[in-house]
Amino acid sequence: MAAVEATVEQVKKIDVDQYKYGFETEIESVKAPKGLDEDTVRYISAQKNEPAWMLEWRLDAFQRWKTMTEPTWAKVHHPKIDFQDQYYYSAPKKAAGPKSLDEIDPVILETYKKLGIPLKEQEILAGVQGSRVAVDAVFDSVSVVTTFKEELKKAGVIFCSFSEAVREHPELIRKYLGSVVPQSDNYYAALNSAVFSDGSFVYIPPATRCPMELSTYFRINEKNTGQFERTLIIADRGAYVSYLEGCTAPMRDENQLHAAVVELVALDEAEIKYSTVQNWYPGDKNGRGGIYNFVTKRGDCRGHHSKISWTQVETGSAITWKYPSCILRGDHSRGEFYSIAVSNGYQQVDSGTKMIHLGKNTSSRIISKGIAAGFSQNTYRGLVSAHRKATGARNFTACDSLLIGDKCGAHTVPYIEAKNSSAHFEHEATTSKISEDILFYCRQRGLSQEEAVALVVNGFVRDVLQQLPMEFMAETQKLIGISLEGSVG
Amino acid sequence: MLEIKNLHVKLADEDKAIIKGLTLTVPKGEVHAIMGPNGSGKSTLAYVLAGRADYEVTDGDIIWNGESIIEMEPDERAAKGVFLAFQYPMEIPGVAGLTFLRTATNSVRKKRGQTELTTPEFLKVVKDRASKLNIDFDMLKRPVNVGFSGGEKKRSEILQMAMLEPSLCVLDETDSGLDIDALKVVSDGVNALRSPDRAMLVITHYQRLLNHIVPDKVHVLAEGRIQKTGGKELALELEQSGYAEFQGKAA
Amino acid sequence: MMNVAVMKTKFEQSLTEQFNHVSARLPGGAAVGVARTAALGRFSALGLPNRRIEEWKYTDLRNALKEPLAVAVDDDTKVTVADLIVALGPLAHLEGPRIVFVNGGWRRELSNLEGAEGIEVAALGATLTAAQDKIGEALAGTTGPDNDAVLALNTAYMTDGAVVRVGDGIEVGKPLLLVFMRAGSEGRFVATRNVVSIGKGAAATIVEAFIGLPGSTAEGQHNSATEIHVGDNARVTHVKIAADTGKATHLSNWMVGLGAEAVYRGFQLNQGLGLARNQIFATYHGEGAKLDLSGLFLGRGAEHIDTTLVVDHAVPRCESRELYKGVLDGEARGIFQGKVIVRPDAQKTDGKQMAQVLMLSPDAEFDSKPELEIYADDVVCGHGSTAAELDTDLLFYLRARGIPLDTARSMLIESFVGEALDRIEHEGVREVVLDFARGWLSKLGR
Repeated sequence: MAAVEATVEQVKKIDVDQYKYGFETEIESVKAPKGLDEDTVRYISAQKNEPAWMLEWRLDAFQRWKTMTEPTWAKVHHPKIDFQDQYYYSAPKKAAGPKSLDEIDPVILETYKKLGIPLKEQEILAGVQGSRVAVDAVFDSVSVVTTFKEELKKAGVIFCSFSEAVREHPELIRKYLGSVVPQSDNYYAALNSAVFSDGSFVYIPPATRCPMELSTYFRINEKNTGQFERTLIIADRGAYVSYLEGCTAPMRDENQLHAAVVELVALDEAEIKYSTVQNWYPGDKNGRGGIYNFVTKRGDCRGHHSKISWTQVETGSAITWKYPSCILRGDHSRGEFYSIAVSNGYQQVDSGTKMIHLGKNTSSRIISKGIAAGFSQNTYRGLVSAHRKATGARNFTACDSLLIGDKCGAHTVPYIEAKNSSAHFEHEATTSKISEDILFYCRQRGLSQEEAVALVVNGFVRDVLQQLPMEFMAETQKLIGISLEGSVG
Repeated sequence: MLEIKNLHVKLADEDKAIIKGLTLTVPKGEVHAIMGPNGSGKSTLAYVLAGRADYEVTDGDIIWNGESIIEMEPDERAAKGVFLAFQYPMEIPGVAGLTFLRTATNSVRKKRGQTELTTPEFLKVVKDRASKLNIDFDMLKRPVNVGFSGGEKKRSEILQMAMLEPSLCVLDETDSGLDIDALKVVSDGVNALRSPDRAMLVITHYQRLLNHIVPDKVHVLAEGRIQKTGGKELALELEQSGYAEFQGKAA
Repeated sequence: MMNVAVMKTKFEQSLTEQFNHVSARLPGGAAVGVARTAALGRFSALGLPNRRIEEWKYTDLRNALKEPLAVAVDDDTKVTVADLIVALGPLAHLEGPRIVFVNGGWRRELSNLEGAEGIEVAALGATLTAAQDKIGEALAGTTGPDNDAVLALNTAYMTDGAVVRVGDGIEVGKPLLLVFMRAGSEGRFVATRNVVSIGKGAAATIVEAFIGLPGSTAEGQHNSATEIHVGDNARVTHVKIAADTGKATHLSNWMVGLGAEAVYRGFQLNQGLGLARNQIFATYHGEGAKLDLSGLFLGRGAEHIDTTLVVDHAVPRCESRELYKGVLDGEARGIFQGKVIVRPDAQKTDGKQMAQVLMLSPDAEFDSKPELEIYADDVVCGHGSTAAELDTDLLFYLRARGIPLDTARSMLIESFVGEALDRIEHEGVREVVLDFARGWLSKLGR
């Protein structure tokens, strides 16, 4: 049908080269020597003035990493990564611990401004009516600024860079670091544990509702540099926090590695809502360049009646390998995973979640929406498991895939393991193409092909979009539109 | 003025001719009815006017306001004022009616060089027009047409028509699936849009709709071409005699 | 991908070595011999599949199959017609021709091919010996995955089986029954192979039954494979009843090839099996074909029942339907893996899959991996999987109406499994399957 061809043509035109965050910031930086050995690990630790226990932990992870091999089970293909051909640490030269915004290199401030992330608190106040978001901005390997710290402090909330937390709150770090994602959890997590540079740390004290949205913004700027951030969020008894992560990188011909680890801990009756809008550079229209996004994210519902909710919007990266998961350890705990994964060009996405039901009467919900266009491959991979003693476990899973064009692939690989009879699991999945009838109907009403595709796709992903914090919903809707229709953007 | 000249249409995927030399003129300010038996090409004509890709024009032309539209994309035609009220309106999961209406209204306005409506302006207009069509405003917050009854869908079509302010309205079997009360509401909605600047083409199998939307002219479409043209009384004749005399003729 | 041979297990070692002792007595000419040797080589290199191989994640044969048994060749265990009738149970009443194999060897005296009009049936062993290499060459180029160690073992050791042919346009009314019986006081490793070819526009019903003779040892390992080619426009119902006494191992491969506009309905019943792995590989060769796979697996004790399907939509406009139901009691473990592949050119594919399990005991386990791999855009595909207990509200409702607990449970379970049984078109066969299932349900513990 001609209309199908027209759609495909439109989507083919999608100019992934128009990635609007693809600029580079020229700034002097301090880098670790290329390659990875014990000295690199020591160098990173020394740069950060870390205590001895932290260095030991890193070295231990490095030893474990050396014995491990890269996982091959995901439906992604890439040339072998030369881990010695990377820089593992890069920091803007002046960034040695700025205490206030005034000390930050204006070039970096400008970068964030271009990205639409105002770091000056008054700008934030002026820019977004009625809603405030505290931001931790990470530039290559270090955190450059964290906003609204004082106000958060009044509420007892700790929100700072990971490096700062290692120095200022060692008792919390030692207690929780690696308690959700152990050093040897997987190849990339082990690598991260050895060389992680910076990231965010959040602690919400008991019975506290964090007074504002927290957000971290990651930016890879330096060439040939891997970014290995580490995020740790702890919600103490009865606490609540909503956290959002965003990311971009310049356009480069080489592939860049991003191997982050995120650990969440929710104690009794605590709730953590973690949202990600992942928009790393996806590579150009021929599949050259782009970020390899190999990320380990896991939440531990350690306390009873605790809740962890992951929402992710994945539009970027050449390769995405990521499975934000929940360990439902506490009785009556709940895990949620809401995902939108859009792939276009030659992007490869292998993403999903694990819901591990361990406690009694735990519940989980998975809503995954995959949209594949161009020559991309988009895989949902998920595990739902109820252990022997996890009586009363409940899960509902719905994964839907939408195909735009006939050169892409959409795959669904769920693993469902019910190890006791009281588990009640329901899984459903559908794959279909974008409806030509609906597109025609929309166009008859005056919408252009691009608008019609964006409208239908946004309808398709609506259940998940609604999970995002209000402030980011509109932005995200636009982002999805742009990823699918360069012709519009 | 709408001028259809010696139009030939076949299915895009196969060599099956459906419209075989149709010629028709509808001046602005007039309402013309197209009546005909099932399979005569009525719905095809509606789709071809709106630019559906499943059909291919093999000969002839469609001129709207002096301009050929057969090469235009559907949304370009919409911007030029062509509106098709579908026989089976689409359900669009996840897309709220208001979002859809606003996106469509503003797209069309933009292409016509009109200013886009701000949200408050838009809401005001929608509320006003929806209430005239007995459409509960809450219904518009639900996804487009999803779970709507036949009557609700048709009323939603007429609301879209009112919002997009087209100059050529094509109504495809708008009476199908409507009870007498719903038919009245829909017809009143259509009649309210009758104006000297607007041409309308009402496609129907039965005469009853034409009691409510009284046409200036009635055309009989059978075997892919206009077989007879007359005044509104022709519809009544057809109700008596049926379409038999127009069928089985060699095209 | 080869599985780097670590230490060979006792089973692997034994099954590799026994070949030298029995190969001379296995039927077939030189070409078959070559195929057998090559297959044994593959098995030896691959070893038994283990959980590190994705497709065998939930069924680790290397771990489960520890004790090797002697390979059955020229078995002469005495079995009478009366024995057969007893062993057949509900199947004894099924009207139609039958061919019977005991411990992997054809028994002419137990078989009865009267009334097999329009359908040619022969024993594979005799055919291989008589026709020498004609069929052997065909077997050497068998379909199915060549990295499957279980299938490789089958090719290496197959002793007998049925060769079935239905000519073009012939419609066979009565079902053909293929009986594979386990008998004797010693457990044996048995490998059988069926080759079925259904001509264009033909219609047939074929039933495979895997049963044990009461009073025999409960041990036994049966490795079975069926290749079935369904011609254009043909209609086939293919049913397997594997109903044993609880300890035997049943490894089965069905390789189904479908011609254009063909309709293939496959059903598999598994009950009373210690360890079962049922693989079906279905491939469409012509457009417009319909595949309907369904099954029922009933497990209790420490039974382990695995169903693994790979449906390959290689051409456009085909339909696949899969519906599997399981009932698990005791510590039984059920596994359902269903992969649907839609190749880039297979536009207008319509694929739907559902696996549902009732868990009757707190220690039962169900692992499910429905999988979609889709490379074409104009498709409608979906799958579902559920695991749950009996609905306690319904149970209460029935009991409140005066129905005893056991009866209420049976009623609910029967209605649960009924949906899958209804997929069997042949009424007589459906009744037999229902009888077997009822027999199993009647022995449910509290």
